[in-house]
Amino acid sequence: MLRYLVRRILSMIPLLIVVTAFTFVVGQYGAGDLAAYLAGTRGDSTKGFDVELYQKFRQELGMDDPIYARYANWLWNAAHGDLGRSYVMMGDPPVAYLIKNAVPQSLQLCLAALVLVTIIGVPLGVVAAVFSNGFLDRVLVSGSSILSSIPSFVLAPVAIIVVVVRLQLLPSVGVGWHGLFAKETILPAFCLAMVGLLNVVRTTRVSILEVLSQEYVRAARARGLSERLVIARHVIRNAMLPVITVIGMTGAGLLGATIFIEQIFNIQGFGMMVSKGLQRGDIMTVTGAVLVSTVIVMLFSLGVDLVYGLIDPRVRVTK
Amino acid sequence: MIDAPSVKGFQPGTFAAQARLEAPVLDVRDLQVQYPTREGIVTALDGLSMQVKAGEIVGLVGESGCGKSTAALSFMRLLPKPGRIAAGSITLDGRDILKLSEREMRGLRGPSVAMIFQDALTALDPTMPVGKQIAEPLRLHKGLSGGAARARAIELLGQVGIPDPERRFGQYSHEFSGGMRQRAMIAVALSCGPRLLIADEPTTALDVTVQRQILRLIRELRDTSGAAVVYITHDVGVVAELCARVIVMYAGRAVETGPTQRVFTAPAHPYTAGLLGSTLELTGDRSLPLNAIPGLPPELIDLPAGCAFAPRCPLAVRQCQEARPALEAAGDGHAVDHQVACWLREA
Amino acid sequence: MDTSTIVPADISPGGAPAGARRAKRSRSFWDDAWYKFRHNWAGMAGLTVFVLLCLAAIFAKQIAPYDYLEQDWTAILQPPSAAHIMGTDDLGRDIFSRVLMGGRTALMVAMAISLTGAIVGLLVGAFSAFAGGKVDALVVWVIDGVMTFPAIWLAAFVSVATAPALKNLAGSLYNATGWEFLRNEVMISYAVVVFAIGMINWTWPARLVRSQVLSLREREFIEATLALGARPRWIIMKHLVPNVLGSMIVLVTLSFGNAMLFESSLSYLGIGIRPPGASWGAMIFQGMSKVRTHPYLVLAPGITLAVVVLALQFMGDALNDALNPKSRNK
Repeated sequence: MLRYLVRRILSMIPLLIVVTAFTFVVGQYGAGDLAAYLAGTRGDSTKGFDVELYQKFRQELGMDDPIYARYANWLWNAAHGDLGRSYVMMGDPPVAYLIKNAVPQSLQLCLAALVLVTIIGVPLGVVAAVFSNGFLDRVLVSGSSILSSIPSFVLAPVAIIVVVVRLQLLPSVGVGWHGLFAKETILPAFCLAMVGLLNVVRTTRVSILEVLSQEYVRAARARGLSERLVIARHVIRNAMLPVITVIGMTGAGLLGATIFIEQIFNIQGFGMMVSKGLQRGDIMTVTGAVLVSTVIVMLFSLGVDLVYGLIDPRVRVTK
Repeated sequence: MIDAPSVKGFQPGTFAAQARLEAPVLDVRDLQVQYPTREGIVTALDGLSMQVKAGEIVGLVGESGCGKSTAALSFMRLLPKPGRIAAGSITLDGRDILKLSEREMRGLRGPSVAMIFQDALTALDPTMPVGKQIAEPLRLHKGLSGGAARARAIELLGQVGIPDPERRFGQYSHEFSGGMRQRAMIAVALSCGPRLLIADEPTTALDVTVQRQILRLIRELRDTSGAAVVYITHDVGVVAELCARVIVMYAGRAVETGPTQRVFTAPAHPYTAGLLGSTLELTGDRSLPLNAIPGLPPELIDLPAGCAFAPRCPLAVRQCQEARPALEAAGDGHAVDHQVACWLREA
Repeated sequence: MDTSTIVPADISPGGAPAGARRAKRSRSFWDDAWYKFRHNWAGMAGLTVFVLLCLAAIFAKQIAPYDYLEQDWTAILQPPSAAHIMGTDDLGRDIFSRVLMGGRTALMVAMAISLTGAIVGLLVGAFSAFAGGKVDALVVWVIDGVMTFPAIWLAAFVSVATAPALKNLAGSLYNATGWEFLRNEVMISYAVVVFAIGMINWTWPARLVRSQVLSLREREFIEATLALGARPRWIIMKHLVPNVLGSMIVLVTLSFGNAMLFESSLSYLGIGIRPPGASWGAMIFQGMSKVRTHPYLVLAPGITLAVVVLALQFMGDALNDALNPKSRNK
């Protein structure tokens, strides 16, 4: 198991390198000349463009080196926890520091949403499968289609208007992060969860239907098990494998959607950092964020594999 | 040896056992099973009647699609949707199971009627240790505690000839070989000592030597437990070896029934003859009118008015196309048990 | 267990009782698919909404009661009324007219993206499967890599990082050709959005086509026809296209809705369609600061977007049921 784990983690490294290399190179070329930007904004504007200052910045940022050397340098530093500085923000804060402050909120938010989407989506999927092609099935699948089709930047403001402003069921969100178990977290986590709802419901439904048609389900019934016991003991466990994969993939999708949710709910998290970074053209921050989010997504998929191993005895043996 | 509490059936020498021997464990009368589809009603089983006594092995034989598996599932009341039993009765151990509630029926599945499935690889839950699947009905029906059920399950594994049952108890089905898996499957079916055992092509997926072993095991288990066995197969060789009586099925109907030896040595239905010819060609010394059946079985949705086999039958006459023959005493009438549904039975 | 005992294999769902069976069998695959689609209310509702949207987008200029850029300083932040059925925004522009033009933008962008995505995906997938070996492994690896990453971030990043480069490219093309539209900022932002979303969108069709080609290659009749001297192109036309077409139509439909959603998302983030170009996402973003007092600013474009995305989702699902009968319930 340990060997498998090590091999699995090592196999992630090439993808990580390619993804960061892509972002680094595209970012460096695409975003324009950072030294020129710095010379223009930081120099004495009365003197016009300060070539000396420009040269100084170029040297400081290592921009005269070939691109691969700069990337290697960045990667080397990144491996040591240094992701460069955000020159767009006041005081040139280190990107690693920004990320360290932003990631915990977002991870907690995603976790809360993932738990929500699982405890809502899986039972709905099971019910839809049990009543497959009936009225309830149609209502549940269409309902989750609707909830998942509404973009989060529409769903969230509507939810705020209805739940907070009109009904006053939940306190106004205000500013910032109030902790994982705060009442203020319910609404953003719920809105985030809806992004993945359809996928979870649908995968659960299909997977349960697939398992229900298996011979071992009939065999379990032939042993005198009640329908409820058949589903609880034999169907759910077997049907969960694809569902877990989808929940893991949904994790990545939810991380992506924090870019909207955090902005709307004013949470100073990872998504907020990225959206601001993108809007300001803060390429160092975005490149660092890409690295970190790729690692997070990979950890999600690693987690899925581990849970897989726990559930499916066949995987346990072969790996 | 199986210990006393699990043996519900046959105990030689007692009066009760004698009486039971007389009354059939399974008594099916005019069973009709239908599947409503959007294209019309499919009659998968049409007027099947059969009796199986304790300790008896009855073979249900026919090509795939003839209704034999439908029959097996209806005996357990486990027909897949939208299938329904449209007419007839099924009496199991003196109780009409079609009148039972679903809850009562569940109580019979396991202790009264159990099933051995064709492919143990698909019929055993891949995510549950095999031993637990044997213990499951024990805990459910016999109220055994976890420990007792485990001990009993290990005992059963030993009985079906699985070496090292202690270790095997906790293993998963993919860790078993094909033959061992089928044995484990049989242990699941036997766990509550059923009065009726339905074996649905239990050896089809196995190679020949393993097949022999499994057949021997089924016969031994019948001898020790006295259960009634319905053995479903398309393999007439297996029937000849195992079953005292045989029911030959075609297109959802029984076309010939009787003691296996009688039916197979003097088949009265051209279909039976064809079935035997097409599988016993190699023996060479038999001279049967047919050695292969041309054509395919009919669709069960719009059966011809006459005998369903008529379109493929080389001996068919006008009468065969027009009216459906009923099951009646065959040939010279010496064997009262031997019945056939064919207009040519007296010829 | 022998399933053919239960329901004979050739009895397919749908259709009339036994008498009509002969007639039904002779109906083609497409007739049958259309029959199934027509009887799926969600799919038909989706199609209706989609057709209405297309008509509204094509005739936007004729339908719109006002110019979508016309500012009316006497009618700022008006709630919906007879004169302005969806109200007006903080510059006094008619929201209904802007929603119509936003629909035009969304449709154009989505059309460009889903078509290029399908074509690129088809080429890459087929190439990868036919090339096999290391090339194939590399392509699969890239597809998986793109798919692991949160899609909206990738699109946003590409959009931000390539916008200056594309602008430069357009500038030099302008110098060479003198075509005026190359200097149009809005046009360039369209190109950026198409490019950015296109970066992600090719992966699904590529994966589909690749797996189909691979499964075809495994089948013996293909080798037989190749041995008989058939050209690969003939195989592609005769065997691959019919096999892929159904799934491809479904994928393109779903990716169409996805592309519309992504266009709005990028515009919402301020890195998509540049003003004065109209986009639902940008309208939602502009309305967000006043959402508590003037919810219609967000609701008008927001609900329109949600309805359209949902319509395409329903349409895709219905097409899937109709065109891929094997995946029914799956």
